[in-house]
Amino acid sequence: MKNKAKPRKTSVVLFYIKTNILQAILRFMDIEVLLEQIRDNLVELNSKMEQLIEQGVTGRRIADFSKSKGSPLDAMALLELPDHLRQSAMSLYELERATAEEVSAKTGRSRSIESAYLNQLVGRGYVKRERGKLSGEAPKKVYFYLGGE
Amino acid sequence: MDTIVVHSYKGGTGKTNISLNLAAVAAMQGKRVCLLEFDLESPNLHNIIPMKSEMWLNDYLDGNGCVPDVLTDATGLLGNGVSGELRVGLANPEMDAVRKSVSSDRNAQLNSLKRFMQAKKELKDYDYVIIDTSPGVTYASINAVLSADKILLVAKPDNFDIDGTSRLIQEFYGGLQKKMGLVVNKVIRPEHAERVANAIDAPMLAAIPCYCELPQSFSSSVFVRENPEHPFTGEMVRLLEKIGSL
Repeated sequence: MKNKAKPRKTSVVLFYIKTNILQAILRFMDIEVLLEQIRDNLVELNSKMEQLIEQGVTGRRIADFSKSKGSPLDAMALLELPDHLRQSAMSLYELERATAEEVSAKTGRSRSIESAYLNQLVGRGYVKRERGKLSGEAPKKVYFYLGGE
Repeated sequence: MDTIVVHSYKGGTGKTNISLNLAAVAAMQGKRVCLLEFDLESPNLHNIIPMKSEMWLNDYLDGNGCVPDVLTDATGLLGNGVSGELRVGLANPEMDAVRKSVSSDRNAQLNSLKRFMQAKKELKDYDYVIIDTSPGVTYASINAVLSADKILLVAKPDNFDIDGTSRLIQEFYGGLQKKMGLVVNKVIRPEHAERVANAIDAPMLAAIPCYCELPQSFSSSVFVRENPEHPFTGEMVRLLEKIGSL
């Protein structure tokens, strides 16, 4: 009896551990999704605030970027962008595909600021973002590129 | 490398003449110059510069070939013994190409801008890249303006040009943070040039008088090469210097 009880006990423990790991992974995935959603919302909020600030400071009419989702970042769209975002976008035109760090080396701004600006362009649907997957790219780094091909 | 775009609000201001002669003066001074005809909607330069390259500029912007494929060597037009180099990217004058350029969609324009930004990398060994554009706010002209380091605005002394150019600067160039200079062309009375300069918020680099000899040459040759002693040639030399100091 003792011999039979031991493996049963072990399998119960194993099952318990597996379930816990699975739940932890699911929780972690939930957190990742949640964080992603929070970040996207913050980017959208930031974009709207910047539109209002730009309008207030320069008096320039700013386009409704909620309608720009999926539109190409062509010359006309570039003209509608606030100056700081246009600088990031123009750098991407030259670099084609780059990390926030590479764009910041071009614009002379800090990496974190550049990352925020590039994410705003992603939020507006003009720029795409993905983890490095091409040859020579670091898989853990995020690469930004223009859509439209 | 200095990338200079020559632009205006209205047509007929003399952009092409200034672009070509400015490029010629620089090449005659020993510089490597690339002149790009970004006026895809009404190409002209093929009348003076015979097409020798394999492709038109339009083909490159459409995604074909690389920059050297579209450049025609026009140094020979400047005479013998020129130490510099003049290469020209000509726009296709065939109506099908013009129609295609006018009707291309936003994605095509986006790709055209991407191609042009890549071209700048290939042209980095040139001293000057001079871009002649179509007037007003068109995709081709904005693409050229966005890609350039310096903007040369050409205006005639009349109220249409004053109003349009002022609005162009205020509403279009304002946020671009580019170096910019004004050329008042076809000036009949010097006070007219002053009036334009006072009304437009850009430093005046030149006030070029209205020379009847220019249209009389029938745009059939490079004016500064044929007329080295003419005052217009002097104006181009001084203008090039002033652009350098912008």
